[in-house]
Amino acid sequence: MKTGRWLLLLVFNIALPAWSADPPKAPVPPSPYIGVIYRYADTMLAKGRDTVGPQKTGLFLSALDRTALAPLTSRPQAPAGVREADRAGDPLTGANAQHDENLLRLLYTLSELSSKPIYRDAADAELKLSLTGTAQPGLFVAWDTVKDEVIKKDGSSALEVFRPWMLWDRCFDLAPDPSKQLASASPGDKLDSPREAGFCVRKWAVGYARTKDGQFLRAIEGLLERFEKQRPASFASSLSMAIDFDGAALRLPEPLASRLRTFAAREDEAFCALPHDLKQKGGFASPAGLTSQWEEKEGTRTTAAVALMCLARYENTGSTAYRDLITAAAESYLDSPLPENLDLWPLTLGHAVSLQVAAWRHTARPAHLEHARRLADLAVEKFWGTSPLPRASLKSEHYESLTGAGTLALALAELHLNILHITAVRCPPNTIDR
Amino acid sequence: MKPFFLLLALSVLTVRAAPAPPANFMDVVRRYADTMIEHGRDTYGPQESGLFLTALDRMTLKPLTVRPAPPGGIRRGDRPGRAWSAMNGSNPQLDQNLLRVLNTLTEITGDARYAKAVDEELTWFLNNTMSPKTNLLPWGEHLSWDVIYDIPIGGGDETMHEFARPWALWDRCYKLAPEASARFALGLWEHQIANHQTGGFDRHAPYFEHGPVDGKDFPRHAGFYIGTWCYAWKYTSNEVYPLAIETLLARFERKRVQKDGTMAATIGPLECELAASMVPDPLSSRLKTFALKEDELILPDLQKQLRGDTAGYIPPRWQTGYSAGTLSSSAMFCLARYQQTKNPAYRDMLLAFADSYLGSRPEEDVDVWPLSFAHAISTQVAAWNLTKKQPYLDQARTFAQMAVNFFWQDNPLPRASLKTGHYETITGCDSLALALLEVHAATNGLTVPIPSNTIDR
Repeated sequence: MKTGRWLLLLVFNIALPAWSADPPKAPVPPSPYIGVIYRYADTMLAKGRDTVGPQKTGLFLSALDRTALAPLTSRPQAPAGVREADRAGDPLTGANAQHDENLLRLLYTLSELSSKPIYRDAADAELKLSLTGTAQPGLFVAWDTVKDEVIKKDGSSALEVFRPWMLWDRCFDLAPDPSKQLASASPGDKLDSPREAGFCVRKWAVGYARTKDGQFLRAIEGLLERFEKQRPASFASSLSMAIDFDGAALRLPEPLASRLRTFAAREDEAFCALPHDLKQKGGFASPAGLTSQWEEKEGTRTTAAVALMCLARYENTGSTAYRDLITAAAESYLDSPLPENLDLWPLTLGHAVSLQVAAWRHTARPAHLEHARRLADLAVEKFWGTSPLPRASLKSEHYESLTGAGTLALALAELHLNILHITAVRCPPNTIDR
Repeated sequence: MKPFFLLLALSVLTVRAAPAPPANFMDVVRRYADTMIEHGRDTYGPQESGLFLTALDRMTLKPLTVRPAPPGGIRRGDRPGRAWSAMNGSNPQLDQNLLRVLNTLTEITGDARYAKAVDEELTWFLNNTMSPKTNLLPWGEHLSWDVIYDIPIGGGDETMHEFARPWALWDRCYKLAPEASARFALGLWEHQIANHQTGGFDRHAPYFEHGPVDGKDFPRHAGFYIGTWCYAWKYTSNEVYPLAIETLLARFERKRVQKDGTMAATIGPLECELAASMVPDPLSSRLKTFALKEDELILPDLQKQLRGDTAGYIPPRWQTGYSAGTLSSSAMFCLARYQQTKNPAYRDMLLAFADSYLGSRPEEDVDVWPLSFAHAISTQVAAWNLTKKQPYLDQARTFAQMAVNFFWQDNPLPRASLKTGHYETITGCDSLALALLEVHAATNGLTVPIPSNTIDR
């Protein structure tokens, strides 16, 4: 056939048609998620900031009335599994940057995606206000936007660590001295917790990288020495600490960096050797037995949340043990229906979506991308409905970022970028809920 | 104690497994090559061309049935497959370093299978895929050959010819398919260059129909064309090729003079020097003079990169993206130019780049490409070759081991990036294999020359 084509060309000098058997063009795949995300972000920028009380700080409120798109005037019932003491104020008129961390990360991403600086400016403003503003609430305390005072938790305004803080570098860019001051702070007896020790080491590592102040190195060395003498941490704590220690090592000089890496590898081994049962029961080993796929319980994580920690380790180590755990966890969700009557959090679905996207990236199995879409469609329908803001849980009507609205929105953004194969903008890893 | 916790306790006590033995880099590369020869060639569709597939499913070692998630920084239209469809393209330009690796494997092992596969690819591709109207080939930045449908395809909505890299295999091509090779060179002049008086061109030219425009004439591409025409002249003595070279040279002699009278680097010196070695005077001398001036203009920028001068663009160490290389890719440029000229400024800079990578590791959560490791490794090997200082070879081995762990893992094929799982050469796993061969050769004192890992530019 090919010879015939060339013969035609040579003998008759005629124009050949396009190569035969052109296959039909595939359509651009639909992605309805980005509109939901922009609407959420735009609403938070327009209606979700502190314009009440004597000091109109502009901080993002961590809870809102979804109908009025205004601060709550009463304290709605907490979503299942949420401790009253963890919520932002009474009524819920607090601003807690840690609860909104993934919203802030999303805003930076949206500025890259849209080339509109308003999102990045809003996130920068939140960080600056938290660090230097007249309110000076600090990053690690909640601020009552009505009373303009720190919300005391259990009668104390002590530092509270909710998640690892991944925005330290941006904080140092915006306000170096206050950032250094805040990074220097130690959470005291919470350093016995492997998870929070990891958060601290990460913070101090950035502090050292940005200031070269030896106090940060000494703090890390002291803490590391203590944990080196202990047996590996247990369950997800091992993972969380390994993520932070390994991440911190990249910002530190030798030999400390290598010690942190060695320590992280020890925790990796301990975690991977646990009797996880993903294939049969869809769960990672945890102190309470196996992790649940859908239920958020006090002190535990879902299977998807733990799998995303595995993802953080996999994408920084290439360890196939983690790859196998991630793919097994993702497969376990493919035929796992949502339990009826569960007061599902946005966080839970956000993790499930991001896990499927990760499995798609690493296996190229379309079933994972398709399932991510199904879960995302469900999330948009059930959590957003007709409101621009997602509800705090399936049985709640109000918005409250504590249950992971930011995480779910980040997962939808990640899914959108993957569906349309957009790579110029890199979505932050959805792996910080640990 | 409950059985679950007993099992748990036992497993925690027995977790300390022995570390994996270090990889034999030659074995890794050979297994990759063997797998590509056995599973990675076109045996599909009506024409079983034997071309290497540029992307594969690593789980099945078969063509992908989907368009997998892209590695960070890879644009949609640059991938070897039809838009939004399964990725089944063969793009020899993206596989070029794999072809060079295969040739080298034959030289190292004496096994002719590797070079034979290369010859078969080049012969079939040149003789069967050329556009009948433009003589351009379905390769480079946007085009490939669909091995299922047996048609030339674009990764995006258009079918535009654009070089992805310089083509370093012309000598072999002229031996295997001289007529087709020359026809492509002529097509490049007639259908890529829009204005034969001014040399105006666009780096995009339609593959199917004549339609070049005087548009975005990225100087780098002028270098690729000059690097094509000099071989055409070498093998055909057709006067059109020196004319083509001179036309583009004159264009950039003019264009590098800025409005304020200052000068800026354009084509770069490498292809000009290469062409100067093949064409007659006075063009040869003019090309050499041009190349020397390019050196003068480029060196200060490279020094800024090394100093971390915040006034200019500083490439990252590890994160690569479209049109965005790493510091070690700059080192590879220095190596290429040093190999041509022995200019000590390039040697010193290469060593400084190598020093800047000692002890380095990829930043957290970056979707690192194999290419980044390839250049980092080759920089260290080059520094070792120049100085015989052991830390450079040690660092090269450390990077190579990391790269094997990160990208090959338990599979014979490397994956496309840290955040993807399929095989796709667009992110430079072919260059990484070449770098592993360099480490193997340096470690074992092989005398077989390893091709210079300097064509990713």
